[in-house]
Amino acid sequence: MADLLKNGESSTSISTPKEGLISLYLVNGVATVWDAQVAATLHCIHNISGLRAGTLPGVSQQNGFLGLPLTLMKEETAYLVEQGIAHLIPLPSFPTIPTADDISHHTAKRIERIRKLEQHARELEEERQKLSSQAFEKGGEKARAKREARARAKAEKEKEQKLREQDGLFGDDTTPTPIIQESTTDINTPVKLEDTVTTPAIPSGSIPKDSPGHFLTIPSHPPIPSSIQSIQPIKSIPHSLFPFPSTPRDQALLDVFTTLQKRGYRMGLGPRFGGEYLIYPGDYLRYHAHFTSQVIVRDEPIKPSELVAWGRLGTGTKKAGLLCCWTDNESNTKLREGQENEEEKEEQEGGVEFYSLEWANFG
Amino acid sequence: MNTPQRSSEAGPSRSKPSTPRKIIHANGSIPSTPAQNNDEGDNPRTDLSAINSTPGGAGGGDGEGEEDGDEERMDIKLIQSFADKIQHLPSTSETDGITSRSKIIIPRRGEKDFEPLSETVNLQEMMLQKSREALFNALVGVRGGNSKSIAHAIVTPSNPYPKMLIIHGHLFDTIGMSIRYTTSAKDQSKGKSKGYSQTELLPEEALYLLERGTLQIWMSKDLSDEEKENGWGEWSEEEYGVKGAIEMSVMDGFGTFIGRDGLSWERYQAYAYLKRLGYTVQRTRQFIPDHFLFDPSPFPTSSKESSVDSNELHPGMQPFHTWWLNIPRWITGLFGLIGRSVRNVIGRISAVGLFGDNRFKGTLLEGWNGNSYKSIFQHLRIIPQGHSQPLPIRASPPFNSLKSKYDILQHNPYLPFYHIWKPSAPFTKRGWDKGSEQGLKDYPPTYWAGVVESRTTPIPTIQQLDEIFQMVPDEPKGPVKKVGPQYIKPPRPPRPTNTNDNKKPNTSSSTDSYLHSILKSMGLGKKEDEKPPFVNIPAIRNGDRAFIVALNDSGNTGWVRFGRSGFAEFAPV
Repeated sequence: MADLLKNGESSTSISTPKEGLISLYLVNGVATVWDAQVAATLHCIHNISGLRAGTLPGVSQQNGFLGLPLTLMKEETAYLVEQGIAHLIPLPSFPTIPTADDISHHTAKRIERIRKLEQHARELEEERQKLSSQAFEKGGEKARAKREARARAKAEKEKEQKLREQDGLFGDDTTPTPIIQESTTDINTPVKLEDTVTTPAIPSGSIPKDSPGHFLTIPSHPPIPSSIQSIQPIKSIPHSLFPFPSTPRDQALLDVFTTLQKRGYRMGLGPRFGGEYLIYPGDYLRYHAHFTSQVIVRDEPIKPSELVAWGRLGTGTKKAGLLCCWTDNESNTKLREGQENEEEKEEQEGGVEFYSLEWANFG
Repeated sequence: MNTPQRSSEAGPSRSKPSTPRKIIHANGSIPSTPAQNNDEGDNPRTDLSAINSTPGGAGGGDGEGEEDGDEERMDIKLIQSFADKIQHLPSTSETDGITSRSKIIIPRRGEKDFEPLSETVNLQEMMLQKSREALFNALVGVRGGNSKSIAHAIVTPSNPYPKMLIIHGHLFDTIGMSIRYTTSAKDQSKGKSKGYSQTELLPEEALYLLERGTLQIWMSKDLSDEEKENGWGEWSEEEYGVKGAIEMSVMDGFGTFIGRDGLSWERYQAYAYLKRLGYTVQRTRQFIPDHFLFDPSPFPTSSKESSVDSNELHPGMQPFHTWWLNIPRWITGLFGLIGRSVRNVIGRISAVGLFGDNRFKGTLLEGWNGNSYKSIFQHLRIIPQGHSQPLPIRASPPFNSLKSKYDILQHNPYLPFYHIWKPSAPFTKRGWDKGSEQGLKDYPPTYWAGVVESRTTPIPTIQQLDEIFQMVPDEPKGPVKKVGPQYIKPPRPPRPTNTNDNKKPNTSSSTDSYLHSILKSMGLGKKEDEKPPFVNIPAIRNGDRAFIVALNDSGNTGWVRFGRSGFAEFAPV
C-alpha cells in the first residue's frame, strides 16, 4: 500500500506502526483508531477492518459512509492485543491540561502560523483580483464586440423586414431609419451600464481584505501529545477497563475469531444477519461473505428448530450457516449428523470445530 | 491475497441448491458483467427482496433486502466518490478548495465477486488495490473550515459542559441550553447585573459539533478571578484563540464526553446518526443533567420546575401507584367471579327445577342471558383484558441503589432517552423549555426514542414496556398529516353541484329505509341493525401509544418501533 497523504496533520507522527506496537485508544471500553495510516496497516496487513464511526469531514450530512475514528469489535481488539500487534491506551475522562509554559509556547506558534497563513491568503487574493480584473477586461472586450455584432445583425434584419413591408405597403421611407438608430442605441446603452455596474463590483468583493480568514483545522489528535504519551498502555487483557474475555462465551467468541482469522478469513459484524459474524473469504471490499456463524459453547444443546432457522437464514441471505463448536477441554463433542440439512465437517483444530450448514432438499 | 483453499470448495457447494443460473454468476464474475444485475432476481425466493431493494439501493444500508445491508456498501465507486469529496487542507495552489465542493449524489453500487478465482486473480488484485486506495484516501479528510464560520467554546475541569464563547451557524438554533447564573456579591457591588446567562452544551452536542468540525473547544485549567480579569478564558483576536487555553482534539473529546452523564457509545451514535440527517434531537427531561436544570434565580418557576423534576426522577413509581389504585377493582372482580359461580350454581339448581333456560347446562355459558355475540364473549371472559388492567407486580429497583439519574437505565434500558423532531417540525429552544411539560405540549416531539445495545440487551419485558407506555403521549389519530411544500395542493375548483345526483341517493335511501321497515316489521331487520363495528386495521397495527428504539450493534444503528395495541379496544363483535 502506497503511503497515504499526510495532509498536514501533525498527528500522524504520534503512532508510527513500524516502531513496535500499534496504539489503540480506548474510549469507554471501545478501542478506536485515529489515523488513516494505522487503519490501512490494520486492514491490509493484519486483516482487521473495524467500523468507521465518525462524521466524514466535508460530507457531514449522511450516514452511508463515515470516517475516522475507526471502532473495533471486542474480538478484534482482543485479537490484536493477544497477538502482540497492538496495545490499548485508555483515554482519560478529562484530558490533562498542559503546563502554562507549554500552552504559551503552543499559542505563540499558532499565532505565527496563522499570521503567515493570512498574509499568504491576502497575497493570493490580491493576485487573484488582478487576474480576474484582467480577465474581465478581456472578456468584456470580447463580449462587447459580440453584443455589438448581434445588435448589428438584428438591425439589419429589421431593416430588411421594414424594406419588405415598405415594398408591400408602399409606406413612407422616413420611419425605418430612426427605428434602427433607436434600436442600436438601446442595445448599446445596457452594455455601458453593465460596465459601470460591474467595475466597482470587483473592489466590493475584496472587502474581507482586512481579515481574510483562514482554514481552521479542528485537530484530531492532541496538539501537545505529552499527556497521552505518559499513559501506561494496557498490554494484557482482560483488564478492568477492557473486561473481555471474561465469561466462557467471551472466550469462545475470541477463540472462534482467532481461529478463523488465522486461516485467512475476515470477520464482519453478524447480528444484522442473525449470527455472530459474517465471514468473508478475503477482503470485504471485493468479496461477499460466505458464512454466517453461530458460536456454540461447550455442549450447549442445539434445538432442531434452531438448525432449521440457521439453515434457512443462511440460504435466505445467500450464505451458508457455520456452526462453530467451542470446547475448552480436548474432548470435543461431536454433532450428530443426518438431519434433513446437509452438514459438512470442516476441520478439527484446537478447541473449535466448524460445520457448515445449508438448506437443501431432495429431487 | 488471503484466499484459503477452503473457500473455493465452499463456493460451488454453496451454489448447488436449485438455482442453475447462479453458476453463471459464480464463474462469470468478471466485474462489469451486465448479467450480474439479474442475480438477485433469478432465485424465485428472493424475488421479493429484489423488488424491495431496487428503490432503496441508493440509501446505503436500509437492511431491507438482506444482501443490501452493510456488507454491500463497500464498493469502489462509492468509496471513490466519497474520497473525492472529503475536505483537505487547502494547499497553497488552490484557495477555493473548500468552497467549491460539489453537491452530493450517492451513486449506485457496482458489483462484487463472489469469491477469489484463479483466472481473474490479477484483475481482482488490481480492483482490490484500487478499492483500498479509495477507502483510505477517503479517510484522510481534515475537520474544520473557514475561521469565520467556526464556533468556539471552553471547558475547564470544574465545568465539563462546554461554555459557548462564539456562536456561528444555524446548528445552534437547536443545540445548547442556556443556564442562568447569579453574579457573585463582589461583582454585584461593582455594578454588574444580578444574574447572567450563558449557553452550554450537553456532552453529545459538544462531541457532535466537535467531530463535525463546526466547533473548536478550548481547554483550560480552572481560572482564578485575577486571571479572568486579565481576559483569560475569553476569545482573543490577537491570539487567534482563547487566552490561556489549548485546543481540544476530537480524540480528547471522545474520551471526555463519552461515558459522561449517561452518554454511552450507543446513545452518542444514535444521536449523531439523527443529527447528520437533520433531525432535532433533545434529551428527555428525565435524563437532562441536573447542571442544566438547576436554576438559582429566585423566581417562582424554579420551585415548580424542581417539583416536576422530582416526580420524573422516579418513573419506577408509576406502576406502584397504579397497583394500589387497582386493589378495589380486583376485589370487585373477585366478587364478580364469586357471584357468577354462585349464579351458576343457582342456575344449575334452577335447571333441575322447571324454570330457566337449560340449553347451556354444564357449559361455560350457563347463566348467560344476553342476546348478542358480544354478550357471549363478555360472559366467557374470566381473565381481565386491556391495557388499563394492572400488570402483575415486578420488584422495582430500590431507590437507594440508584446513585445517579442514569442508573435507572440499567433496570429499564428502553426508557426514552431522546425526543426527536422531524426537520420540518417547528421547534425553538425557548418554546421547548428544556423539555418541560408545557414545552412538550407546545412542541410535541415526533418520536420518543430509547437506545439499547443489541448484543446483550434482552427484549423488553411487559413491565418495562408498560412503564414507557405510561410516559409517552397518545399517538395522533386520524389521517397522517404530511408537512412540506411537496404536499401542498392547489385549491380544487368547487365541483358543479348536480341536482340530479343529489336526488338519486335520496330516493334509493328512502327505498332502503322502506325495505328496512318492512323487514323490521317481519322481525328480520334486527340482525341488519347490529352490524359488526368497523375494525380499523391500520389503527390496530399502529397502536395507541408508541416509541422507537435505536438498536446499536457495535456501531451500526438500526431502528425499531414498539407500539401498544390491544384487541380489547377494537373488538370486532
